[in-house]
Amino acid sequence: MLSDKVAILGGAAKYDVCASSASTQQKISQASLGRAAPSGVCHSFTPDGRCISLFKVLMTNECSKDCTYCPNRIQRDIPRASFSAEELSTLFLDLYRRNYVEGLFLSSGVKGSCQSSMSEMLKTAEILRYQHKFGGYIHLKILPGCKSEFIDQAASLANRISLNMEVPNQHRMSMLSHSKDFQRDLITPMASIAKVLGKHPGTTHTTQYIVGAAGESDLEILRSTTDLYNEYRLKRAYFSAFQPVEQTPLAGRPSAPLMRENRLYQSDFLMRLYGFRLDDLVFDQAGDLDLTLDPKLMFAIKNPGMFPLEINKASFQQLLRVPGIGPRSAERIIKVRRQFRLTMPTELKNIGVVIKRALPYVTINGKHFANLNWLAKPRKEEFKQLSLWGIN
Amino acid sequence: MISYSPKVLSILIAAILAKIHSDIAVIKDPNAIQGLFAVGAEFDADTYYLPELLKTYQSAFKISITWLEAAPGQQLKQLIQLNLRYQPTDHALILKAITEALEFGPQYCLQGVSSAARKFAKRARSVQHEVHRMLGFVRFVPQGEHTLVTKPKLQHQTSDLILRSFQPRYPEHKLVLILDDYAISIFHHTLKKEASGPYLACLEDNTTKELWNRYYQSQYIETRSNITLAQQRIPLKYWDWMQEGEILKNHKAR
Repeated sequence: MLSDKVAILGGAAKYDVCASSASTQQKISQASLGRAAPSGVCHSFTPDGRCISLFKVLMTNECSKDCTYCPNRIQRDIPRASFSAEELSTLFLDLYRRNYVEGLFLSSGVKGSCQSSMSEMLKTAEILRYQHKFGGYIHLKILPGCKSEFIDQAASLANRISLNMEVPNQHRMSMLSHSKDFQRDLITPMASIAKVLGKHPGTTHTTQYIVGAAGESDLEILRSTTDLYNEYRLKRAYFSAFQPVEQTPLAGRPSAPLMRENRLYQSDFLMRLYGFRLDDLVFDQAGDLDLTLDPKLMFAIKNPGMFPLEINKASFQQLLRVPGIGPRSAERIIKVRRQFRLTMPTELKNIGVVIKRALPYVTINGKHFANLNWLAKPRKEEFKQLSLWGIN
Repeated sequence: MISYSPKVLSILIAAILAKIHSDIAVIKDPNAIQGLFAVGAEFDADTYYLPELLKTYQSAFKISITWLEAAPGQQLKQLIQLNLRYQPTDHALILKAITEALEFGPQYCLQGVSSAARKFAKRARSVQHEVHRMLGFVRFVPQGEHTLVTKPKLQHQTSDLILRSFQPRYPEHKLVLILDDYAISIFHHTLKKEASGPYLACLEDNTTKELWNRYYQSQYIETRSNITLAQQRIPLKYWDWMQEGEILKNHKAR
């Protein structure tokens, strides 16, 4: 039944992270349905609070790979299903027309060869684009080891393509999969993606890391993302905290804390949007980020010489270094102070600054409003209940 | 007394006149009975011309407010427009926000520095937010080949904004929003008010609902369960209206 297939192949794709993003470039002219322009439209939210904006589904969950973390690995005894290109495109168009979704996110297990699985996905995208004149958002996964001509074709059809790195280097890859080679299956296609993107304006590419499955550190992951941003034209990296899956070799491994995923996203945003460099971030001896304090606060605590900053004089870049001030509120501060001198914390609060975080690090019209004791002890004190008899 | 009609330009002119004449501005009430002691309005904002008023303001206060005709002025007008769509509309708040913009500069108001300006900006955002939410949350039901019908849940006057935002997504479809006792439709960028009767029957169509429920449930990761966050994203007021509401209710009960 169709709904069984949808449940199996939708469920198999649920660990893939994605978001529908605005695209100014239309992939086809004179589309009869759909456009990719609006971004951030969520059509629903699951009980875990995650947004559903795209119809996220696999072409098939049959897979010949043995990745130890993956719910679709060949050794697992689970119901398997496949869509045909025609079936999937008809189903997707019905959901799109009824406004259940904002676009299609299509991935696949490796059934037979990588090239044959990839060509099924491309066929679906072609039906949507050329047969139905669909002008909306399509995100296609590039399968590991994919040839450059398929990548070129995918980039011409999709608004976004992505290839999951999963791990930061060869050493970590060998711990998770015997059938995948880091250089051949991931770095070479990444280079092909970077090469074809110039030919297809409006197409972007992203990647995803599985955090905590191979014992990698946060520093290793962030170093890898920095390389991809700098050298492979990566638009964005996504992180997914490892969750053990039954009937896999990693079933007994504890799941990675969601806070770790959160800290990686915060660090990634600091580097992409706030002008931070990898050296600015504070890691512990093992190369991990602090789980109790966010990376920007850690930066401020480690660099007391930079603060306090006068809110009426600090530059945009300096404001971005203050905890509690983001790009939008920094921009607002700059606009307002051209005509008006900020004098009170409430004015900053109304502008959108998170006062509790920002006040220790700024002066407003020469005055400091925060309790500086907090700076000496930024972490919450933890109290321990002692035993009545002094024996634990 | 200065009277104005509930239109962007009229309310803007009324605020400027109120400042020049140190008088109060009141909205025109077409149903008001002119009694013996009723005080008539001294100035009717609808009879004034903005460019000339800007000159009067400049000569009275020695402050130029020509920014009203530039980009910040456009932004302010847009915020006023959105505030007029907010239900219930607070005219006093709009007038106060404009007055602050005249006194402290446009950015003081646009960036929401004071409490009134913040509330003014927040209300505008709330209207935009409703449009954005509806772009995701409404579900269309096809009626024939090229007509799509839905019944949104609206708090503010946003139906036309929603239809205009949807139009580029469905260039070859007629879109119909069913409101309380009438419907509003758009086709090839032309808005039309219609009777809702002919469209009501198609709302009973349940063909995709079961399929969507199965897909929706397949996307949930149990170890990440966070119903508080889900409730923040889909506020409780929508739970009885959206089909996912039933599933969310069950999760919350658990």
